[in-house]
Order: sequence, then structure tokens, then C-alpha cells
Amino acid sequence: MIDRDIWREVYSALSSNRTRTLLTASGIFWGIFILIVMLGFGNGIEVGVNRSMQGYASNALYLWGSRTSEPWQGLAPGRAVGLNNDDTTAIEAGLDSVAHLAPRARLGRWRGRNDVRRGTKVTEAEVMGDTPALEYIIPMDIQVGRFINQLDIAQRRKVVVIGERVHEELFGSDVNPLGERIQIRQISFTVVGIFRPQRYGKDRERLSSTVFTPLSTFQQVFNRGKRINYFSMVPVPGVRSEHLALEVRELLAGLHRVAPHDRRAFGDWNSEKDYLRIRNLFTGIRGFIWTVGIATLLAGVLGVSNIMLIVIRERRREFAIRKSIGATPAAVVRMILLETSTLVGVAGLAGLLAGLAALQIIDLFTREVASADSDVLFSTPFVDMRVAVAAMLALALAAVLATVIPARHATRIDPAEALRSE
Amino acid sequence: MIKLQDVRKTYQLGDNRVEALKGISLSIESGDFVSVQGSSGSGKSTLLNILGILDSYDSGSYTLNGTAIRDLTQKQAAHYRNRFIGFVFQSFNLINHKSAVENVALPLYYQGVPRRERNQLAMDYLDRVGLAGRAEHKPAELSGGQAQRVAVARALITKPALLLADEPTGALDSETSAQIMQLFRDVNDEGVTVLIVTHEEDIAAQTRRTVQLRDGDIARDERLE
Repeated sequence: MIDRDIWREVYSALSSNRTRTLLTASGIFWGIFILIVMLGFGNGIEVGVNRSMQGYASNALYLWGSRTSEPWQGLAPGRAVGLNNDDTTAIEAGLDSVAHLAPRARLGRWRGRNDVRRGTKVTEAEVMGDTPALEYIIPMDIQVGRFINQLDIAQRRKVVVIGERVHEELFGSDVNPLGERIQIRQISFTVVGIFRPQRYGKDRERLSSTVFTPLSTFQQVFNRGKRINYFSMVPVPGVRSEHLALEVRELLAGLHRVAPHDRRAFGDWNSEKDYLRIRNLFTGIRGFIWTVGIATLLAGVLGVSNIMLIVIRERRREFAIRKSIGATPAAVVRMILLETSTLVGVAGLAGLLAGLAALQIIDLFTREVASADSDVLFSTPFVDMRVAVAAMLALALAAVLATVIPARHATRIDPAEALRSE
Repeated sequence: MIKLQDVRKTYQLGDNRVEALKGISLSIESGDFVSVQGSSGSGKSTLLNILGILDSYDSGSYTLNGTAIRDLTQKQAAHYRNRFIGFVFQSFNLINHKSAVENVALPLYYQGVPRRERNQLAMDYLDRVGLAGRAEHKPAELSGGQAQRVAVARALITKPALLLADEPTGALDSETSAQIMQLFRDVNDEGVTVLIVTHEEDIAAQTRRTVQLRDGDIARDERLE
């Protein structure tokens, strides 16, 4: 009996009181609309924040030497602790929980820049001494050529990998610089690669103006001896960065005659804690959005259910007439079920479309600030298909819920009583 | 056609038990034209509801067209009402948001008759009651007499064996009452059993048999000719 007749009945019932129908539909409409818009926003923020964190190993650990704060083995506190190649060897040999270890040396101060020249052209860049392992810690996009390799380290080759910005300023972006020479502090290096940072915003600019040289070369030509500035490392899967930091500290304390519990002799920082905190934050935000969205939807469903009860009370006589001329309880239930679910379905679909349209409009106004290169922690708001499907399922459930109680009431109408002449 | 044997019905009204029917025995032949008279509270509405399978009874037996009407499910009751019985009410009881022709066709909708076919039939029946020209009007746009004729057309469209009318002329003036009664006589002439509940003497006088109810009992049952 699913034919046009049934839909005619549904249509005529719903259109016989337009105001009531619209009021009923608006509850569901808003529920879905708000859910979609909030989910879209949540996704936009999440993508924006994730983008800002991209290009960092999520569990990287950074560790550097500082000053002792406790006397130990006859040495006074306040002594500077410097890291060197022996520490690298010791960590590589002694600690299984390190997956990748990248000792790093820097020319000048923390984030200080140096002149890098080619002929008469000069630009400023951070100059680093690095090993191939760095690629596991700062994901890099090598545009042309290659990164530093083991042969560079072993033979102390005077080679350099330059950032995008350095390439642009010294050569021009359309000139192939491979094999060309550049000068750092009057020492010539041969360019073997260009890289593009995978990070966004300010970090990207800073990294674009960086040049990487082999650590062994760096230490020799810049008179560093065995000294390095800090370690970047990634633990093997299953080991938390925090625990690795303790292991490394313990090992280095022994090598540098530092009191075992001197917390200030070394400094460390890891991104894992931040990463986890942000991930938890998003779990929380998502939970919040769903809670609010579903609560709004439930309120809409309760509203619909309520209005349907009133509607059925108002239409008591109509249902009684229908029963007296041969409508079975099943036919009455089917009719109410179809009426409600049509109403909820159409209202929900409208809410879904309006929500998607709203996201489009929001995107139109935020595209400038939310573009890929920006620092803003917001990106194009979107809703994926799974979420849309979930919303529609929630809606279907809502339709059934909204129908059950009113339909039960309608079948209990006693036609003899309802039709009794007044 | 109709056979009632010692039918009893009691209502619980607050603390009071009201005996609406105190053992009614009545048998009506097929093709008869009967009026049931009685003051309010005499049990005539209860009797009509039981006959129309809109209400149940406590004890006794009711046979309609050879079928025992007892302990029916709602679905069975709906089926018998749809196939055997046509109803006409004092207040017409048309569905307000449907046109005259849609109202007349509605019982056939519940029989699963295709739309085109049932609307065709509905037009025929409207024509019979002289309202083919008002087919697309809503009940609110019809006069009382017209509305009642639409209701009669709706009651007849399923070709019921029994037509039950509850004060069908109660809301009408004497002229339109006469038209409706003429309609009932025509229907009866075609072999449909007609039972009218009324408290009006002159209406009852136009039927062939009157049953007088008093306090849930049959006080008088006489054949007029």
C-alpha cells in the first residue's frame, strides 16, 4: 500500500494547518542546523591547529646542557655543562629506547642569523651543523637535490642544503643552484639540495632561511672541536618522551660529573605533552559539540512529540471518523508515522542543507585568514560524509521517537466516545 | 440480518455503575426500515454503538449477517465496519480538510481501491444525492442538508448491508429533514437495512418499525404500516 495515495493523505494532513506544521518542523530544523554548523567549526579549528603542528615529530625530545645547581665530586655548582660528540656516541651505544638521534650545532646564538653570500648577493640565514637523522625529526620536503648523507659526514664535505628563501634571494627561484658555491664566514660550500619546510606560518619563514651543513664539517671549519648545541631525538614506539628524557639525563650526568638528581644541569622540552594536551582538547570539544547537538536535537524531538500529541487531540474526531469507516489501528499508526517522519525528514534535510550552506558562507568570509600559509588556528569549516550520515541517522531515530507516543495515543481513541453528538 | 440476544452493557461512571442495556433481545430482518426511539439515557446510543461495532457488550450475543460479533480485534472490527456498515451521524462527521468527493471516497481508500476508481464511484454517489456539482467543496462550504447528504453518500459507497443513522435529522430543518428521510427510503427500497436512532415522533413515523427504549429495556416494539 505504499503508493501515491498515502503520500496524498500525508500531504493533505500536513498542509491543512501550515502554521502548526512549520512550528513543528522548526525544532528539528534548528537541531540539525546547529549540529552541522558546530561540527563544521570544530573540524575547521582542528584542521587549523593540526596544520600549525604539522612538520613536528609529535613525540620529539630536545635536550641541551645548562648549569649545574648542586655540588658533586668536589665540583662547585654553577658550572656550565656542554654537550659533545662523545655524548652522541654514548647515547647511541647505551640507550635502546632512542629511535633517532640528531645532534645539532648552531653558528651564533639561539635563532641567531649569519650572512650567507654568493658573489655580491647577501642574505641572512641560520647556519646549522646536522646529521642525516634530522630528517626524522623535522620532516622536510627536498625540492631539488638531496639532504646531508653519511658520506658528507665521514668525508667532512663542504656541502650545504639551503632553504627555499635562501635559494630565492641568492639565486632567484628559477635558477638551479646545485653545484654552485656559497660562502659562510669566507668558507665556500657547495649547494647539494633545496628544501621546503612542511610547517606553516612563522616557523615556515624561519626554516626557509636556514642552511644545513654536515655536523663534522661544521665542527671543523667553524672551530667547534667536538662541541654540539643540543640533541633532538625521537623515542622508539611505546616509550614516552618524558621517560626517555630521564634516561638520557641519567646517562649524561655520569659522563659530565653532574649530581644524579641535579635537574638544572640539563634542559629538555618535548612536544608530546603539548601534542597530547591538544589531542585531549579536541576529544573534549568534539564530545561537547555532540552533546550539545544531540541535546538540541532531543529538545526538537520532544517538541515534535509534544506537538503531535496536541495535534492528535485536536484531530481526535478525525481519527474517530476514520476508524468508524474502516481504518484499522495499523492504518492509523502508519498515517501518523508517515506524517511525523515526513515532517522530521524534510525539516532535518532542510536543516542539513542550511547548515552546509552556512558553512559555505562562513568559509567565504574566513578564506583570507584561514588559508594554508597562515598562522590562524582555523581552516575551512567542513563536515565529512560520515558525520552527515550520522546526523541523518540521529534524525531517523528522532523521527521514530517522536512518533511512537503520539501514535499509541491515536490508536486508543474510542470512536464511540469521540463521535458522540455534543 | 441482526440478532441480539439478551445483550447487557454496564458503564462505570465514577462510583456509580450505570446499566445502559438490561438484556436487549431484538432481531431485525434484512431489508427492514427501523427506528429506535427513546429519551436521553434510555440506552439508544449505546445500542447503536454496539450494533455499529464501535462498542463492546458485557454479555449476551450479537450476530450480524450470520457473523458472531464478539471479542473482535480492533482490526477485525475495522474490517466489519468497513464492509457491512455505513454510518450517518447527527453532526455529519465529515473530515474538514477534505473535499466532498474525497470524504465520500475515504472508506474505499481503506479497502485499497485505486484512487481513480474510487473517485469515480464517489462522483456517482454524490450524483445520486444530488451534489455532483459540489464535489470539490469543503464541508465548511456546504449547508447542513448538503453535508448530511455527503455523509449519506459516504455511508453508502461501500454498499453496506446495514445503514446506521444517529439522529440524522437532529441538526436539520424540517424541509431538509424530509429530503434526508426520502433518501433513506430510496436506499431502503434498494434492499439496504436501515436503522435510525431518533427522538422525533414524525421521523420515527416514517419508518416501518419502531422500537421504543426506556431505561435500557425495550418498552414497545411495533410495526407501522
